Amino acid sequence: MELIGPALGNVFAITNLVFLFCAVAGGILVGALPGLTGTMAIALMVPFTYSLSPESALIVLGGVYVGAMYGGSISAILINTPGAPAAIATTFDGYPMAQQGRAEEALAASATGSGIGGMFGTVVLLFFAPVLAVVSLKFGPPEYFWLGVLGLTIIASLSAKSMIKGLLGGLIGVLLSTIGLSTSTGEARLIFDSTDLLGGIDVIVALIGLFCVPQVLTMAETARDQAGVSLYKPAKGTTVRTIKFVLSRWVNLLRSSIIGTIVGIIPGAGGNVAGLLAYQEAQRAAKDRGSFGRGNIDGVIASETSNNAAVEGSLVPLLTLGIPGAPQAAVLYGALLLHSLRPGPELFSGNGAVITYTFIFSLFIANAMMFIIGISASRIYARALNLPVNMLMPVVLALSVVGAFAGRNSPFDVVLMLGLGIIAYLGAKVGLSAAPIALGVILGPIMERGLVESMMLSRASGGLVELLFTRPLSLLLIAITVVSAGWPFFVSYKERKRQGDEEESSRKPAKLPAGSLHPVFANICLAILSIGIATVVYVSLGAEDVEPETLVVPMASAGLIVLAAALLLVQAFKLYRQGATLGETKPWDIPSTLIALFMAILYVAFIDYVGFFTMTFAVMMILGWFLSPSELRVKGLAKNVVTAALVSAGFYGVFVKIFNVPFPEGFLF
Amino acid sequence: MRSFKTLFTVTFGCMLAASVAIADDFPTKTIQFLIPFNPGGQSDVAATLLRPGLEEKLGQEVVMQHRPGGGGSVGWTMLTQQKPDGYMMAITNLPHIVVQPLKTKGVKYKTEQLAPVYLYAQSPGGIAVANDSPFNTLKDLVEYAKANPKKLSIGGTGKFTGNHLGFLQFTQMAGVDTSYVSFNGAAPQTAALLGGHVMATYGGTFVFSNNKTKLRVLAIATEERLPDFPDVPTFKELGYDLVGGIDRGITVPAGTPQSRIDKLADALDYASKQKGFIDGMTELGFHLMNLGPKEYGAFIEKRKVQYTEILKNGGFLD
Repeated sequence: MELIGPALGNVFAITNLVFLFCAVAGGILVGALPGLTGTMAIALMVPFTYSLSPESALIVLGGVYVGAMYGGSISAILINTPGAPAAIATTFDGYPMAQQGRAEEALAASATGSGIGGMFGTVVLLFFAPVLAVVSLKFGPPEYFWLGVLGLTIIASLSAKSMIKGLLGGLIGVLLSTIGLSTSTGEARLIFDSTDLLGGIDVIVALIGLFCVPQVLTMAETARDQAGVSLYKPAKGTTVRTIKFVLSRWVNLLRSSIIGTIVGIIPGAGGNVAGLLAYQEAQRAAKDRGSFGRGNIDGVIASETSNNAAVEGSLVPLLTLGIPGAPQAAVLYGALLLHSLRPGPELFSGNGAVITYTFIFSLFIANAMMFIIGISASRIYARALNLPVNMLMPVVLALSVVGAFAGRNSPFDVVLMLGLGIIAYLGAKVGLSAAPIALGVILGPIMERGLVESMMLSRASGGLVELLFTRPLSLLLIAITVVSAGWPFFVSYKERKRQGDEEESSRKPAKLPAGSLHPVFANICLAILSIGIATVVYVSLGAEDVEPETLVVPMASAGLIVLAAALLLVQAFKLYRQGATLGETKPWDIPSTLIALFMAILYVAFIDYVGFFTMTFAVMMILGWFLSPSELRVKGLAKNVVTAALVSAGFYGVFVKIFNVPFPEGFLF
Repeated sequence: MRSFKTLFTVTFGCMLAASVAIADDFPTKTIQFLIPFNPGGQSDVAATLLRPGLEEKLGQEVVMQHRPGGGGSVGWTMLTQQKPDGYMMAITNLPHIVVQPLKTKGVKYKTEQLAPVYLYAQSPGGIAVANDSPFNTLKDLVEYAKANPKKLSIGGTGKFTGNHLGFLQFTQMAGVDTSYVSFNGAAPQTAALLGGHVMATYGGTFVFSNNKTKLRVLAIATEERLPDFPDVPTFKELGYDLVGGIDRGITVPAGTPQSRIDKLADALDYASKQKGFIDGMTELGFHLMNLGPKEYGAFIEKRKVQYTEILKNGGFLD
């Protein structure tokens, strides 16, 4: 207790407050830019903090971590692209809200939820860290496997309308995540003799491809018609009203905070899983579960509250055991050690205790600052939606390229991003959404590692089945999984029984993406695609002479994909018999879309030769000019040049000068 | 005509002289420091600590570039594709660069394509159990393993990695059949040991240093006892000729002029003797080393023979 005074004194030292503010603000910016992650930002700050006192160093790094976790929600809401994997569940309702002109609400809800989740997590960290750390160790390989499976069941609630397609997407995602070196067996699979693929598909690259690129192409579909449309109309009092509303959702806040903290404490699960599980629980608890995915504010609250609670959760095993609960925490670990702070009980009692408590108290302030910055800036961010599409769209495209490149400094990743993006864009036309694929990419590795480690462990302990199905914690997770997966079926069965189709017909079905195929034809296309994928996988894996552990997950996924294809064909036949028709689709400006696609391909293809900045400038100019309505083309030219120049210069400042990203310079620049 | 020829000769001569002068002036521009792992990892921290000393000595900016993936192989492949002019050097770890070309499909570089510059640190391996384990000595553990084939589970990180090769070497020498469980990094590995999911762990001693109060180290793969663990015997003391772990160095593409390699090695030698570097690395549990290009090259050759033998004995190589 005698530590509290000096610790609070440290926190409120003016230099520390200034450091913290800059760290939180910088973290938010980094988090909001897809491709730049909190982990990168924290790693970048470590050398800088080495010259600071240990307290200040931890305050700065904690601030970046907190800020970046929230920042991810901004791009999730505005451009449907999670700025960090943990914000994926925020896109489900945040983006639809923005499309309905409620961006400010979504952003304010995210800031409030994040702040409350973070505060909750900090309280837990302060009072219960040692107790909970012991619990985190109960998670062994079988439990990680079930945790991954549990996370994947959210696909069932995401895609109640077409479960098979959702499942297929998830399987494709898992398959994508297995490409490259298996960390458990040290053997490569599905790399088609490419060194680049040996490195696997980076989650960030996949997310940008799956979410950003289709977004860019979809914007092009209507760019010339929507030039003057303002999606966001500022209204006085929205933010305050939203904060009050969010606070009234205290059950959701509490539930999501608890889920977030617990999942954060489990090493290796982290914010990515936390946001998803909280979202699923919020949906299950809701009366109008059908409104989720169409702009239900509870979805945003759940996801953001939970992933920020996971920040502090991940610090519990770090500070008490020296086991970082998340990649960001792993970088923090290095910083702790560099300052001669050894995690463990001594960190809470010995000489280091003042530093530890200073750090924990600073997290309260960091969360408060994040909330204040988020709230005051949400009206400014929301205005980004009112940029003319012909300007916004090229900026998002350039951001995708930068983001895909920056993670691993690899030109191949940019090509991969665009390829995945085009597939996702076409997939939407046949009813295959990006979210389940992304879930597969994120959760696949957790599930696979759990399974393969269990297989290795079972050689010592006896049977694999026994290992997976008899441990108490595993059984608990299985039970939750069964409930999660079965719940959507149960609810729709109950609803059908009680009120017939009353509710369904009262809600106008959402418009389908432009150029959607007839459902029967769509199913057949998807089935052919699935069988194609499965064949490629089997041929490629069949030629490998490797351990069974290397192949089990890709083989099983491919097998299930074939099953999904068969089900799709059966469904196609049924739909044909019922005389199914295509619903109403959105308008489609085909020339604009093709130009956008062509420019995107050109952009990616020539970066290496011409140079990143020249290409960025040129592509932004051309797209900006082409996508504007013809009468505005000449008038808007100057604006175009200025925007393209400013954005290119901004990229240079942030990515080259601060993050040292070695963009290809080509023969120009 | 004659005057033209003279002019040509003079111009050409000047250019030649200038290019020689440039070679002597090396480095004249920014040097890229490639880290084939993620930011925040061990190699990244080491490079970060080396950088100030390098910049001071070389008089040029040293820019860190991360190229993670494939256990480092993506980055090392990229290094071998660079011009051998000394302007890109990479953090390079053993056994990775020996084992990957031998064992991993899709790895395109060869060990010989990486020219050794400097070895700056080692992370020795060791074997440890949780505090509440019934095994008090290495002998207890080996006896249990002998009496119960396959029953002893030992955690490690990855396969064909430093930890895995150490594990293989130990079990081959002890003549025991155990079950190796490979985890994705030191954090899950330690968590699995402390949570009782595996019975023992073969890992880096730096990991043990940071968890001293919660686990019991049974033996360490060094020549002499470590200051951090004065009471823990080395494998050698216990009759196992096992010394190894991860050897951390820096390489450039093969074909780089020797004069430039020497210049980089000088700078690395300077940087690795700075107080900031020594203090930071020691805190992180690294065992510091100072081997120049020649010694480092010989060291790699020695390791290569050793690793090939371990893999052959384990039936992993034909």
